[in-house]
Amino acid sequence: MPESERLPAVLTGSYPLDRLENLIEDLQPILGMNQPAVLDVDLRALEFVGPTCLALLIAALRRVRDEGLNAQGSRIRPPASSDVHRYLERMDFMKLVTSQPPEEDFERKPPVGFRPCQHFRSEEEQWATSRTLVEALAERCDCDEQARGALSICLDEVCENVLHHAYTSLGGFAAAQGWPARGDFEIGIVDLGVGIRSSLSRNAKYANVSDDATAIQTALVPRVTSTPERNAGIGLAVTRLLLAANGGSFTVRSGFGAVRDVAGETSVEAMSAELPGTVISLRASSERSLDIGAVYAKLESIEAA
Amino acid sequence: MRLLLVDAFGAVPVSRARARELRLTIQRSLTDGENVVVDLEGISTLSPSFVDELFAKTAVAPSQAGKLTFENVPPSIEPLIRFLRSGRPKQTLAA
Repeated sequence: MPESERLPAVLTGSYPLDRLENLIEDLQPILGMNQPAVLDVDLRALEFVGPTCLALLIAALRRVRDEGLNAQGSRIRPPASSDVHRYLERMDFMKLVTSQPPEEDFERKPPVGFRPCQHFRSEEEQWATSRTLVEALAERCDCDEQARGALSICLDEVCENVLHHAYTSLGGFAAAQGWPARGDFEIGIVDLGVGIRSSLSRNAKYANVSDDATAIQTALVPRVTSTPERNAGIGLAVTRLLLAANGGSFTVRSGFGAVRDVAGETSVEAMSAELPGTVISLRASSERSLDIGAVYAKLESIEAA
Repeated sequence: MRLLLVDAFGAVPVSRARARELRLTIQRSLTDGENVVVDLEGISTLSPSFVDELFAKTAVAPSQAGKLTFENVPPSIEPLIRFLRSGRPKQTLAA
């Protein structure tokens, strides 16, 4: 039997949302795996990983596990920092990415203000994911009832997109984190499915979209969907409008494309590294309102314009 | 049949799958000749998917006109209902 290829992947330093692109580049050996290899994931120098990047890291490693690509001898070297190591354990990192997670060396308390990374593959799990993460953010950031309702709706819509449009048995991954001192929070939803461009192309109207960035822009227009008989095509548009009104940021990364709304500015970019699937990141101020009713009130005038 | 939405789905109903089940229940009742009242008392808002299934996709045959009514619809979701209904094929709509 031929010896399996050895595949090192090293993550160093911090991976907040604005280093998502660095993470995608660092994960290329893993994201591109299509035959078994001895995977050597080195997290010893990892210092921080935000929720969007964490969901992507978990998705990438879980795909390798589920597709049986981990050859004998594969390993994950845990972070040297005990704080980072503990954080990953509390987020269920090892439970989600390995079939035999090591025994934890600490006692878990009921989580308040955070929940482990969520893995969803069914409609019931999708519903539970949005409910669970909104609960955590409400505890952590003291969100009011209006904000909780709006977040619950947006999370449900974005997670539903994974089940309806990603075409992957791996499902989706979602993680959230709030920073009360900073007054904001971030939610990341990740799948490693077919990506937005391929999904949209199932609708003949969008079969000829030329590139991934254009496909993302197209998918953000209200009523655009690959499955109009089933879906309405406004979940992403509503989420984007909600975050814009809050002054938050909204990122969609798929294939070689990225669309980002940050501080009222939109950037549309062609990226050098391929991301199979889609990453959606929502970042919002917990001190400003999140009013979904105001978004609904704008829909007709936006379409008319 | 009277359905008090808040009892089954809480103050912010989400999930297309759950709304689809509700729509099928409503349509079965209409087919059986029942009057159906969907009461949204206590609902703060709804997700687009839920509204799409409940208000835009629920087909009411001409012979069932007037048999399905919605009560206490929050004014804040009325623009969403109009928007989603306008994107679906013309059909007899509930009051």
